[in-house]
Amino acid sequence: MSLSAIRLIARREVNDTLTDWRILVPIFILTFVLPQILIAASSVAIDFVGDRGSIIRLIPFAMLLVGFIPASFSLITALESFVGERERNSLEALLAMPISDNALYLGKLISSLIPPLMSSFLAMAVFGISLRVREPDLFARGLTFEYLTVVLLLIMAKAVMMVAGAVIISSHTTSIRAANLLASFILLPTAAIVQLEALLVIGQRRDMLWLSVVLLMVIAAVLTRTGMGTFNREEILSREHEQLNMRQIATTFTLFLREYQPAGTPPETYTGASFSLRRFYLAELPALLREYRLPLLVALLAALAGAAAGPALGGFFERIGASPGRVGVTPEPDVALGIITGAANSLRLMITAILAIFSFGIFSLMVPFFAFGGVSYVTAALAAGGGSWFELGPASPLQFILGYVAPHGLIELPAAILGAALGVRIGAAVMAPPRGFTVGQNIMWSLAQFARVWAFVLLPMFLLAGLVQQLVTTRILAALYGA
Amino acid sequence: MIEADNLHKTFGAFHAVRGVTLTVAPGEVVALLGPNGAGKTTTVRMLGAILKPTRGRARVAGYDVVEQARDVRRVVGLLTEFPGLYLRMRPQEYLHFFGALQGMDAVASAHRAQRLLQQFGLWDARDKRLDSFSKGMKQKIALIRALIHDPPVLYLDEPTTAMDPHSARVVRDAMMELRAARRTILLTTHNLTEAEELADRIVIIRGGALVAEGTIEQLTHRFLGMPLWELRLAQPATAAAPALDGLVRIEAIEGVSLRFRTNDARHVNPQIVSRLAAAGIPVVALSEMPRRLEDVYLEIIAGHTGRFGEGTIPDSGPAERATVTGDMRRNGGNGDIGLAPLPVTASHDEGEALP
Repeated sequence: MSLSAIRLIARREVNDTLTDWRILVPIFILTFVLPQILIAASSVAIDFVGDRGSIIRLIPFAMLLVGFIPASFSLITALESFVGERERNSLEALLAMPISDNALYLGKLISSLIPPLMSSFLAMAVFGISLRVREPDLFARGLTFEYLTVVLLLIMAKAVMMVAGAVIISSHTTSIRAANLLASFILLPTAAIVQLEALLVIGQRRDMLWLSVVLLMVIAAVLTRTGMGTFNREEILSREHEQLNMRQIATTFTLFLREYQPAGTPPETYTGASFSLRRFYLAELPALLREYRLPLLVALLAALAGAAAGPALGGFFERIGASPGRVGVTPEPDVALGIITGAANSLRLMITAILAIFSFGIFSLMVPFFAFGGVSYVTAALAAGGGSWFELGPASPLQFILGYVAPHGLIELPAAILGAALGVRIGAAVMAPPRGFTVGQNIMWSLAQFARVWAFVLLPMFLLAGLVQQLVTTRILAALYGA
Repeated sequence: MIEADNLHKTFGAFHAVRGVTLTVAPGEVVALLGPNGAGKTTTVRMLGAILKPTRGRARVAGYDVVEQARDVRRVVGLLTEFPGLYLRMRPQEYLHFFGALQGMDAVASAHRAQRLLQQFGLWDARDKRLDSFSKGMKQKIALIRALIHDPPVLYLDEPTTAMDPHSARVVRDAMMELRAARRTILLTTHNLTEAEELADRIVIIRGGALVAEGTIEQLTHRFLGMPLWELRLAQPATAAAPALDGLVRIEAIEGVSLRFRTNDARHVNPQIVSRLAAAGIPVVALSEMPRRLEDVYLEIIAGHTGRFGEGTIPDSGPAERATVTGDMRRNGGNGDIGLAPLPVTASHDEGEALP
């Protein structure tokens, strides 16, 4: 990736924006006029409310608002970054240049960020200086260095998040109108985030504000990565001919379902073999597991993170918190309940896999995280209550694991990790399609792999685990804890 | 310089290009013709490494369009169908931007931009913003953009669209110069006169498939037959037919006009004149009927395969091939050649040697 190409594209776009009075005028107003209005409003509010303390709590929020509104202009420039050029017929000449897709994407992203963020920082500076001059008391008591830093980071993270999302929309739509309509998918969550931030600022929850900063930065980074992964000059031009062809989608999905080939293998090069259970278990599943090494590692890390965070989980989740109280309870064997449990776990995994598409796989990671977290919480609670890890007994964490976890957990927990890995792969499908695949093909491929493994591996494993839980675990529990 | 082998491009269920095989030699100008939606732009985009072929391979200046896409883009200058300029820029900064993206240093791109702006008569407008330019001026700037890095291969999509005759002449002269400088040019146009003037070879695409290719002479011969001559007499032409019996086969008789074909006008025409003089039929005029590329194009687009069938023109050398692909016949060709622009009243049986 060429930095000079990124710089060239960004500089041209920024110059273009800065010579467009239709963008400059509102930015000027928001930069220089809005802060003055807000300061004037603060003075009026103090006189009206008569409670200087309440108004002081609002000052960081006012700063957030002053900074956010000009920054929100980045959405407009980013939304039209690709689709606007496409409508003006200038895109093809740019796509014909010997620069990488990433350089093109990042050039557009950076250029969409610079003018609004500069305007935002300038507006915040104007607000801060004006407040210092006109209301020195409000400035001194309302704006601490920490708040300023948090507000600055929140605005930057939100701007990157909005721009990254908008550039993705812009490169995936065929008209500015369509891009504007889809922008609601960015505007609505952003509006919700701003409201949440307002509550946190007014409530002076600095810990949660810092957490918000971290979360927004992670989301911004993921969206930027997704944009880079999905941006493809080929697909931009192909969209001229794009039609939603359900028959072809179904055909491709069926192809992926019937036969395993590594991700990125073009559908037209598949052999067209029909599905074979024998081939699936003997050749395709081992090959798939090899291909899924990274998602499996991520799922395993989520499980370990759950185990590490487990001792703290009970404080946040009532159900987990109540688990140690149920240790010693030995249920009666119930085969039907075992089947229902197995089916319910399989269904849960399926739902998280579907949600993985929209959450970059995060929902899938929750399954191993909470499964291992729950076990970890109970063992930690038992150990804290004096239970020994080295001898058996009703309060022993070791006995809890041997009785409540191990018999069916040996089947269920690996299944949860495998299911999570499949979900992570689905979530990652939108971010980084392998060479040879479009984003759509990548999503269909990962969904097909999930469907195959779910039907022929996970469902049997969960059902078996459910039966083991009812037929074996209950007996071991009765032996360990008494009927 | 350009070698495309069985290029296919599908967009979902839509098959935009079907097995285009094409070779363009260095310094050759090839006109890519075809109706709207025929697959010309998609073919050019694949050859410009902007779109990846679904199937098939192509190399441009030795670089593979898939594996070495960036190298291909470096050696290609692309004039897109629409100028699509950044209208708030001025010509020099616009050209400098694209020169820099092509890896040119500022001094080189400035010199080159100045030279090209002067050549195309835009130097005096260098300080104006592009949004104040006329359509023709914008088109020239787009052409200069394609030329800024002095590429060995040029893809020009409708280069003279929207230009006044003088500007179009300037652009055509520039293309002549490029050809003289051994630049390879793939010209996409609907302006058949321009194609006739500039192209060494014509390639016609229809329904995504290459349906005919060859020099203009080859294609004309193939689709319009031998040169057609018109004889204008001082009296009804029916009286002249017996005098010409055995010399030429008459194509049409209409009033005082008589049309016939011959490949050997140098010998046949004087005989005609002398025979008619001997028969007491005064000749007013004898002239060759114009055979335009447009007529050839319309023949091909209508689905006709040419009068000599697939293969070479009988009187052409081995290097001069005019081919019609089998795909054309599948697309509705019936092997019939009609001389659509002319009222044919006499039957004709083409393909035979004339007396």
